[in-house]
Amino acid sequence: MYRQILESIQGIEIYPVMSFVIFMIVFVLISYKAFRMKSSSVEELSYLPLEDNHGNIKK
Amino acid sequence: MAMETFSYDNKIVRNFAFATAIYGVVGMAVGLLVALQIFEPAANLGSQYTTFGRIRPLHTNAVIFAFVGNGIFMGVYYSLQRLCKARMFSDVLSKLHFWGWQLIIVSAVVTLPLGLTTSKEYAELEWPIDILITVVWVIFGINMIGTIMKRREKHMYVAIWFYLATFLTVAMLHVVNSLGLPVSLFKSYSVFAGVQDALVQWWYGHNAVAFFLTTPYLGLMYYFLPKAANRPVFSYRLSIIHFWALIFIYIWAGPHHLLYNALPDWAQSLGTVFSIMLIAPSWGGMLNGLLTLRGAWDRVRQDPILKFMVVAVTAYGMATFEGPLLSVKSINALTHFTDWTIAHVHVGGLGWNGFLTFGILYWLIPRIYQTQLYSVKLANAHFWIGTLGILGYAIPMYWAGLTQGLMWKQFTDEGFLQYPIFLETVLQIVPMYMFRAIGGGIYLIGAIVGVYNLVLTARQGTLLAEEQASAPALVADTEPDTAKNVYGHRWIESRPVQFLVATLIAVTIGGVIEFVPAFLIKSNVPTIESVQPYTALELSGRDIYIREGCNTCHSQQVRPFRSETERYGEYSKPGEFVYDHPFLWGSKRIGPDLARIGDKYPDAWHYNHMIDPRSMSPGSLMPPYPWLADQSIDLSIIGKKLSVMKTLGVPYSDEEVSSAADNTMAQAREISEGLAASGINVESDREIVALIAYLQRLGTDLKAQRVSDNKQYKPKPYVRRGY
Ligand code: HEC
Repeated sequence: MYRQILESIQGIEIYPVMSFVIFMIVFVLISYKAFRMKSSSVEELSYLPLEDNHGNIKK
Repeated sequence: MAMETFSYDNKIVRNFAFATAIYGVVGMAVGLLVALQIFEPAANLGSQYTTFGRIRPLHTNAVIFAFVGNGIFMGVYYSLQRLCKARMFSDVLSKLHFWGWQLIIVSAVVTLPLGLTTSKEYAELEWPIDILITVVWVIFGINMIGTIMKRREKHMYVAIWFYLATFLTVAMLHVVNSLGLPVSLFKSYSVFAGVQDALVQWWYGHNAVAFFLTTPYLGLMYYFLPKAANRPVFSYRLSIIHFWALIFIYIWAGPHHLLYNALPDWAQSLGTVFSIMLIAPSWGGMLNGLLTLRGAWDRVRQDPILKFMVVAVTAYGMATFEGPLLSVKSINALTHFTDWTIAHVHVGGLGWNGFLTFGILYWLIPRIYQTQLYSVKLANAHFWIGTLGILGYAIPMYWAGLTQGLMWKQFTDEGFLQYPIFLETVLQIVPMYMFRAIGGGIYLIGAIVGVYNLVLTARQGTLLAEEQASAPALVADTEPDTAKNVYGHRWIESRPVQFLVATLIAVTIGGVIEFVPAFLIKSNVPTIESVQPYTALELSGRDIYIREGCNTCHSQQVRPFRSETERYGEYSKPGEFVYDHPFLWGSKRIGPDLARIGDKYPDAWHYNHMIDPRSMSPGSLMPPYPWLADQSIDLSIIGKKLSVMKTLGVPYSDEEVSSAADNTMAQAREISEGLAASGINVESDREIVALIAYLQRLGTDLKAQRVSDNKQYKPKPYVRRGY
């Protein structure tokens, strides 16, 4: 079903390295974004599931 | 701001809740039956429909798709409505989703015992049911995304991200892994073969664990744990990192299921590295869950719901720590194919999925029934019985796995295998199998107590089918477009479509990088001249092997260790499997590897062994297959089978396709004549003849290669039967 198009690929070892680099970039970016969030909005967002908990919510 | 009033649909939540409770008990009961059969084959009730190879997949499918599946939907339908401050998008879709999913489960309950299976783990269901799954899944997706679109809360809480990622990724996994060409209404062949098929299957299998058993349950954890504890999640920032890192890394780790198998080295390394990296986000998530309870441990001691949740999250942490360890090649060499894997999945299944489901049920049922839990005492009892059950299950299985793994590898001082007879290593751990069944039985009793408690809770209350709520309509974006708002994470949290696209990118990169080389490059699967397609009879035999689920107990993959080459013969090469649609490498050795079984015994041995394994291997735990000597080979579709294989790229000639039935019978007669010479009289059209032909073929192509490579070395001249 699949076509064996290329006979071989140069430098297949680069694949895992490439994967790792892509991941690190994404990871650093996301962490940066997460920590740059305003504390007030973080607070507000984390209370979203509790909005319909009536009565006393421990802040 | 004008308030809008609307109502939450609790009935659909109730339906899924009772479905999960009932299927939990059923799925576990089937598991117990399977566990008994391992040490007492007679527990197969003497029927082909309840034999091990057919109902083990029934157990796994029932707990994954019926118990956990309905559990996911219960939690999603409850939490999504509240987090979006909106009723589900469409009541009709909700109902179609519910009944469609139950129809899938019933089809599985009917077809798997009949032996209608693709053999691919957790994707055993045949193509018509696969299509039904796709349709129902899309209905779920539309209903969920529709609800998100008409939400009254601008921001999507982290639980929703996990739900969206689940929907998207499972859809992708299911479609790709199920690609097959139908032969008949209930038989199809995977479009992939051998190494490619294995890679796709374990990309699926691994990520089914990730995106069916993990991400949706993490979403549930992020909603129901704060709910039950009445305090917000420990760190929202951590949950952002947890989410993206987890979905991004998970997808790459699939090849760790194939370490030391016939898979290119770079793919194996990729699997290992990413598996180890997975510890970080997994533990981030676990700590985020546990630390949510900081300062509330006094409540945990009293509240059975929190107890269930704490053990669930702890089990998640244990399983996700162990998983990466098992991906380290040297550890995997010992544990793979043993009961260690079974222990590992049950810590996850019984602990994480099971306990979280029960925790949520105990929290949710009293609420939608406007009452109190019928008995907190019983819930506490369930908690302790369940915990005991998990320990009683896992400890014997770790023990069994370690013992057997070591025995397989043990050499005497003279350099011979200490335990050359495989069965010896099985009989050694039979007591562990018995303890496991007891542990599982205890857990099941706990579950029954739980369901009883929930039913009585429901009976003493009345269902609040329509729960009134009100919220202001979502007005158009009023926040100023400051740089922070536009580029921060908050931006994507309020944009479901962009969110889905970002998720799609994160989960496809891994798959693409893994697959492209394996599919495009010839050098990754070096061809072996002497490897030939199966004859028509052997192919029929192979399909019987699949139907009976022999692959649930037997691997076909000799790993490159001296302990394996001594025991089984030459290690497996990628090129040996190029015509295997689907691959049958297996994942667990309850019996010995069969990759080199061809020519090891005479046909008569196999005949007697299949009819009554104990006659040939005293004390064997393999189930007998007497019906194979009564049932006839289905000659009507054999031509179609070859022609489908031909379409998939297996080089059969037109002549071979058109005379498939005749060739089948010609080869079968030769075997039955041989059997007659040994005093066994069997009609040549019986299934057992086809199965023997297949078994005798396994691994022999490679021997033919050796004969031509090295004229010195002549084991037994291999004559390919001319069919
Ligand atoms: C419950 C697990 C189980 C299932 C299912 C099972 N087997 Fe076995 N099998 C065993 C065990 C254990 C042994 C080792 C003891 C013995 O020789 O019977 C074994 C041994 C064998 C052997 C002998 C291997 C050798 O090298 O000596 C063959 C051949 C075999 N099985 C074929 C099959 C086939 C074909 C099927 C499906 C129709 C099947 N088995 C299903 C457990 C199983």
